[in-house]
Amino acid sequence: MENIYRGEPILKGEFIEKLNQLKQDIEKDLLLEPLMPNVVIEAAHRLSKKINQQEVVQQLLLLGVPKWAAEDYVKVTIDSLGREALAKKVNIELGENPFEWKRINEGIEEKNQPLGVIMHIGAGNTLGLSAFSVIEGLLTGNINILKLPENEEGISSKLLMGLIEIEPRLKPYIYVLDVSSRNKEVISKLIDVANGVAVWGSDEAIGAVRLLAPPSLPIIEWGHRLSFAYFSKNDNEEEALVGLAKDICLTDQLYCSSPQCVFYETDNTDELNDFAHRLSKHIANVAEEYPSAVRAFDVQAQITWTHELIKMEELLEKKRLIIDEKKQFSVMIDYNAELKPAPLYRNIWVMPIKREGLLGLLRVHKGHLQTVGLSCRNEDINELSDIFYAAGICRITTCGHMSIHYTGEPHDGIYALGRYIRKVNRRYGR
Amino acid sequence: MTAREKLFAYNNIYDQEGSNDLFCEAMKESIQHHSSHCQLYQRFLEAKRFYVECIKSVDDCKKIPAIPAHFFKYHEVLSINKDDIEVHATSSGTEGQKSQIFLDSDSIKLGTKMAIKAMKYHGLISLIPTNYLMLGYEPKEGNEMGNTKVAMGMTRFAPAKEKVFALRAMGDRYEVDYFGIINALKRFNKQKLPVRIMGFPSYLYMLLKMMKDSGIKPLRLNKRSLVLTGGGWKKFDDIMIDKKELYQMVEEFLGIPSKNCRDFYSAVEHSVAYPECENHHMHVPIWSRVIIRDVKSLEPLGFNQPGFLSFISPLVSSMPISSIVMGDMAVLKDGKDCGCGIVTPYFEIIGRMGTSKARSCAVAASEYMKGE
Repeated sequence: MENIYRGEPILKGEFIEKLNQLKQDIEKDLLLEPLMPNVVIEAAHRLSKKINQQEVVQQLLLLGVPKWAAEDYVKVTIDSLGREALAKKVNIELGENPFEWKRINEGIEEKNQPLGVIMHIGAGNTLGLSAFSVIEGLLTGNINILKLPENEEGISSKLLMGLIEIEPRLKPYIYVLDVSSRNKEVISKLIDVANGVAVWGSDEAIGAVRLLAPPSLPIIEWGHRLSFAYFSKNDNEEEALVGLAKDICLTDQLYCSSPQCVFYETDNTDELNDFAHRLSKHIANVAEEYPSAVRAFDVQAQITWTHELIKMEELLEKKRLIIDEKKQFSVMIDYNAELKPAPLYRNIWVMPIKREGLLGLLRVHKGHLQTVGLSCRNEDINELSDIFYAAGICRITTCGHMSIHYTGEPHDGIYALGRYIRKVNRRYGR
Repeated sequence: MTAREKLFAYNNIYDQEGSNDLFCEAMKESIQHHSSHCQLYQRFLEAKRFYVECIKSVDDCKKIPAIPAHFFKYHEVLSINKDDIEVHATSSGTEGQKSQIFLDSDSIKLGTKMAIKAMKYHGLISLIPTNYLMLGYEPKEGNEMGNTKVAMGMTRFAPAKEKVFALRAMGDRYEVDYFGIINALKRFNKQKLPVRIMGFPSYLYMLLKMMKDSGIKPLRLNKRSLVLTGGGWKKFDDIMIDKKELYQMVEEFLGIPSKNCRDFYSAVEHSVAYPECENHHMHVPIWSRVIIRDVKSLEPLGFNQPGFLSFISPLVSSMPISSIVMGDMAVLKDGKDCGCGIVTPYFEIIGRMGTSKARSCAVAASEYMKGE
């Protein structure tokens, strides 16, 4: 059962039939006693203890996720649902007792108030992500309507139903509908009752929501991002390359924070080639420990296609391909620097770069930039960081930590919870 | 007469068995020509350690290394002098970088012969005056799309009484002329002459859908009318419907029998056209061989196994595209199972590479940045 209406499982068709009633139900629930973060945190904590790890791992294996990645995923999920993690998140992002009145001046008070109703449009790229988006909406006291992404296999619905079973008080705050993005009629009706839309996904998905939503409706956009590694000659290069190889292999480059390209500060072709070869050796070592899963047909086609084009351009000495015998990974040298996505699954671009042109090269992609895995001399860190932040980068990490997040870390430069509330105030007395 | 010329003069266009040796000879000539007239191609073959001498039978043609078609989006590669270019065509992609194809008079001559023979074989040549509805771009100066050129050439197979274009040139852009289209169809309906509707299947579908949605009374066009589509759905992939469904709509709203609906596969990077037989299958003619290649090893696969669509043909002498691999995913099927009388294999496109919704951030970002 993937669809949920006001906390109760329901068939998709029945949910759609109830759309006319939705507005009334929600208007009643908006006047309920406010939902406090602690209720949500306790429920999530108990859910994290209840999750059958083996079962979820098995489910992920069936989806083609490698075993080690599945186990890691389950661990991260459980950790981030824990009491401590969520309480810290709320505290960092909203401050202490966020929903209590706070005195500002004589006779003036402020407090946080939920936006009201948030519609979440999920993305299929990270399993269960949609459920987290809803939990963020719950932590801020909102009523949440989730439009499920495709290819999700019911993971988000299952998590949310688990939450409801533990804490029935959450029922009025949770709706889930598995409807295609193409069904504009239904989506428009859902948007109609929302005070804000949180949309995860491609520029295309975000663009489609912008077209459907009235101009007065806030759209909270969590779009796709690009990340890369940056190397300037230093004494710890080898160590950083090992870390980078892990960043590449452990995520299969699937996350927004995974590296697509590596820039190496040099104008010497031989140096660049040598650098690329060193990287490929480290990838080979990591890949031995963490073998890749079988690639889907269309994924493999895309990779082969890119490789064949590179082989053609090798003849023109514009690019170069370093690939292992089993075709499990590749380092693709492009002698012309340009930030661009790789075909993923352990296929990484390597390019030469000069610091002078860096800002301009990156700014072409402002709005899509996220993480840099940086390896350079200590005295260069500040200069390079300034360039990266100015270009639109939000995270700078050491190589090996590109996709490792800390509790309460802002998402793409923003504290999510802050987007789901507003500040209300009152003046009283005479 | 060269083997290539003989091949294109050969009468039975689906007799691959009888023309195998000729095809093999023609391919040898073609590879010899390109490697001696195009330095890049010579380097390419050397890098792959392939030589003309490796071709001993028609089966060996599968081993000729294939160039990915997209390479021609970014590089101009010629096997002739620039002065000998007769026609410059681009792919019909509506956005992004387009493939650049240059043809010499020889290739055009053989290509024309080929097209006439194919049209004749399928009974698509007529002497009766015909009204044309072109669901594509109105020709104008500066439009180099191969698709427009082919469409215009296709109007020569039945004398044109009138040609109406769906996409009219308005200054420097094109606009869909809905009223013009509907008025023309109503006019053609009254005139009772055969009608030929040609163009992208997506536009045909949009036209039929509009007729359906706006409640326009179904037309009964002359039974000898034809619908000739080509070029695929392109950016309209998300509204794509099944071929059979589309042809049913044609029967319902235009009164043209389904067997008169023929889709063509063609690509500027290949230039051999593949019209559907009356059972709607694209059989491989004597001028080319279709190979489906494994998506990892690029090795040839057998019938019914999906992979890269790859073509081999000696048709074009101006560019080294004699062995090429397309960005389309396809399967090859045994032609004996078709039942139309043609026994050569036929292929079916199952999708374009990378259009499936992969679960990844970066892929979507890549789509955005490529602007495709």
